[in-house]
Amino acid sequence: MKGSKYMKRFLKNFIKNPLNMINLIIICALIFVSFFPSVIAPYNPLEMDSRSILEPPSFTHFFGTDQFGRDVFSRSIYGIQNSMIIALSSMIISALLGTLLGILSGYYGGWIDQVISRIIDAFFAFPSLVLALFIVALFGSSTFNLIIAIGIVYIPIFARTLRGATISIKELTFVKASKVVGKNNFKIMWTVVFPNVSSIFIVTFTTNFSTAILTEASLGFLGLGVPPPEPTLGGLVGQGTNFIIAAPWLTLLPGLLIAVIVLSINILGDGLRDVLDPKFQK
Amino acid sequence: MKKIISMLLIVIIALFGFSKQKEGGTLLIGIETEPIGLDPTIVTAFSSFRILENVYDGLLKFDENMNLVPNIAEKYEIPSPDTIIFTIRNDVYFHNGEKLTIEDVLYTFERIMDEKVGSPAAAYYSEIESVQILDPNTVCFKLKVPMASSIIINFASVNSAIVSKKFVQSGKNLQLETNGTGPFLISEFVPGDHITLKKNPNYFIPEQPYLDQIIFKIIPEEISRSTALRNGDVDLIEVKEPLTLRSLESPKYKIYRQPVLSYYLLGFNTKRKPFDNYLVRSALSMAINREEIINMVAFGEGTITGPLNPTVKPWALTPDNFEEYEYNPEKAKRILAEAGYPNGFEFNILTSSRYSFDKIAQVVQSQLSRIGIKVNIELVEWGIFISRWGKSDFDSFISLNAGSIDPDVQFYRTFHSGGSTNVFLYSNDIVDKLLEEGRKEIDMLKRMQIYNQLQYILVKEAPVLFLYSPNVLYASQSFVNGFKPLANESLIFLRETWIDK
Repeated sequence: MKGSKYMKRFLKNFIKNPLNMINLIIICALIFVSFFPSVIAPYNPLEMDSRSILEPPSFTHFFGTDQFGRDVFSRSIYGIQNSMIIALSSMIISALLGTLLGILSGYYGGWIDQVISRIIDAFFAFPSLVLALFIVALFGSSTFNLIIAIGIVYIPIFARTLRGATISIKELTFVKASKVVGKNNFKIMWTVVFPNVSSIFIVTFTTNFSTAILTEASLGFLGLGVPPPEPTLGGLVGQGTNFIIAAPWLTLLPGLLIAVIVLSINILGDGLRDVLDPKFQK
Repeated sequence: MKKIISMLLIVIIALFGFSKQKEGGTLLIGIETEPIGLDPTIVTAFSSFRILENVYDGLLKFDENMNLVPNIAEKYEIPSPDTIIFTIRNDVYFHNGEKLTIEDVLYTFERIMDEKVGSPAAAYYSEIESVQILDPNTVCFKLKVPMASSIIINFASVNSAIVSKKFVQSGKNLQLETNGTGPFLISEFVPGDHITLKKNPNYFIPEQPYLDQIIFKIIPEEISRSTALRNGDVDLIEVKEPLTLRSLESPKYKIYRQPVLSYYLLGFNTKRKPFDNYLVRSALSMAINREEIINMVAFGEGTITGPLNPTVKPWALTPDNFEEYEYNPEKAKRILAEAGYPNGFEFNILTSSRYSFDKIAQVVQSQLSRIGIKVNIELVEWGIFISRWGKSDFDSFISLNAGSIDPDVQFYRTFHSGGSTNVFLYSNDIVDKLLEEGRKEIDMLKRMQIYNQLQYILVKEAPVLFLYSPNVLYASQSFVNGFKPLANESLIFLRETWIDK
């Protein structure tokens, strides 16, 4: 009963902003593309064709073709799928571990907090891209290693954000009340603390989702992404840069796609924060 | 009347052109990588060779067609297959003013063969028994194995350049300071930015070099290099990406292209299944379309090569001699079925993203998928690639091997059982026997027969698939004259380069 009331208010606030509506359409399109790339892509993204090398964009090849005669539009569509899978999987890893660590250290405090926080600090000391680069270079580039690398890199962000949120609510009466009633600590963390920090969790998840896409793209650009010939958006941009004067479409169009995707997920994150985060509510 | 005037004009222009001063001026060159170390005896980086071959001289050098010609040695003789005698010039001076003597020549080779120095050239000269000074201008190399004809080309390598005995023994660090005899001397080296070479006024060929100064600007990015050329910031650039040439198609620029001796290859681990069966390897040779690889990866800037680069005369058999070079997927499939793989198989190609290895791997992957072979590309970091290559830890790999104008140098260590670069673990008694005979044979015709037979075996047995030799590419402003790229990618022709501004 209470839940649906919240939901209604949430939706009403969310829809109030027309930008959110337009954005929602883009997000839906993205999700559709990620699930059914073969419906949209006109060609096999791996099919080479020596008769159509480096053709500029046309009606047969919307984004032109690359040096192997592969259709860049089809590669971009499958690239979106790959990038989304990687970003989502790595976000799930970092969200799970980061949230667990954050709530634990925030809830218990004391030496547990000290240990976890110092480890998190150590991770923060590295620029996230350098850390991901290091992990991928060490274990070799494969889709799995990439997911793990990006996943690890974003753990500290979740941990720190949720630690703060947990500390801010753990002294509130309803949490103390649950303790008095005799619930054990784990139950309190799961049933009382987490639901009350979930809005912050959702916002952190979406805003970092877009940075994860960027991280994946940067690694792909540097040649440490998904191994060829599988396309990813960053990989497409990276492969195109050597030809940027002779064949600019190879870089610009997939680059534009990255920009649109990151922007729309960021707008979604902002929209969610506006309605979920109490700090931003009027 | 008009005709006469135009004739006169042509004559005047021609006269003016010929009488044009060749001397003087500064040439700005955009290069990709800076030298790593400056000691000619021990450097291994291509980028160091390119600079040092203009600062130091060897006993011999290559001309534009890769023939050996005299340099510090004014002549050389091979009186018997185990003896080489050099007579050195009498008018060669180091940059610090000392005269080059036969002692310096002797010292240079002692230094190369000194294990503590760690010269990569030590391996070339491991078959040398003794080096003796016969008279103040003559030095004699005695060999343990009669293989003078294949050892001789090493005297033109940068690693064999003559250094000053006094200079080295005075405790100077040659990796940082240079004292050569070459046409240019290094006047400034700002790592990461530029290297300035100044004319050596006492160079032993009086009219050379023409230029007063060469400034090598280090510009790692391909696009920045070509933009620098178009903006007139540099006069000559290295072109690593053939497509760049499309943006330089204009009479304002000169393009230089030269097929190099190094060659791309797909190497197999001949001890791993299914590549332990030569039928499988040679079937792949027919399933790979080499021309398509050149078109897609190098935009046509390359030459299909057999075991020897077609320009290596008179040794090379051109690709049309080998039936295995014909692109014939159907036949490949039949042979695979005979070899016991009617439904294809799956294997990994080890690559790195340097030198377009990964791009070639992608084309090979796509071509082999047409005959039902599934290829997985392992893209690893360069250091890992080198270490796994050295340990033969691969099913197959794409790489670029340095070639040579002598078949013994090209083949012995690569295909002899247990050879230092035989990472394919290839072992064939007939090949071993031919290799050993080939390096000893002095009769040119017999030697050719040996290496012809060897080339046929290497293509048939296919421990590696020879793919293609890329072109080395340079582009310059139209006023740059006399520059010639060589098949070994050397830049020694900078001494004959001049500016017509």
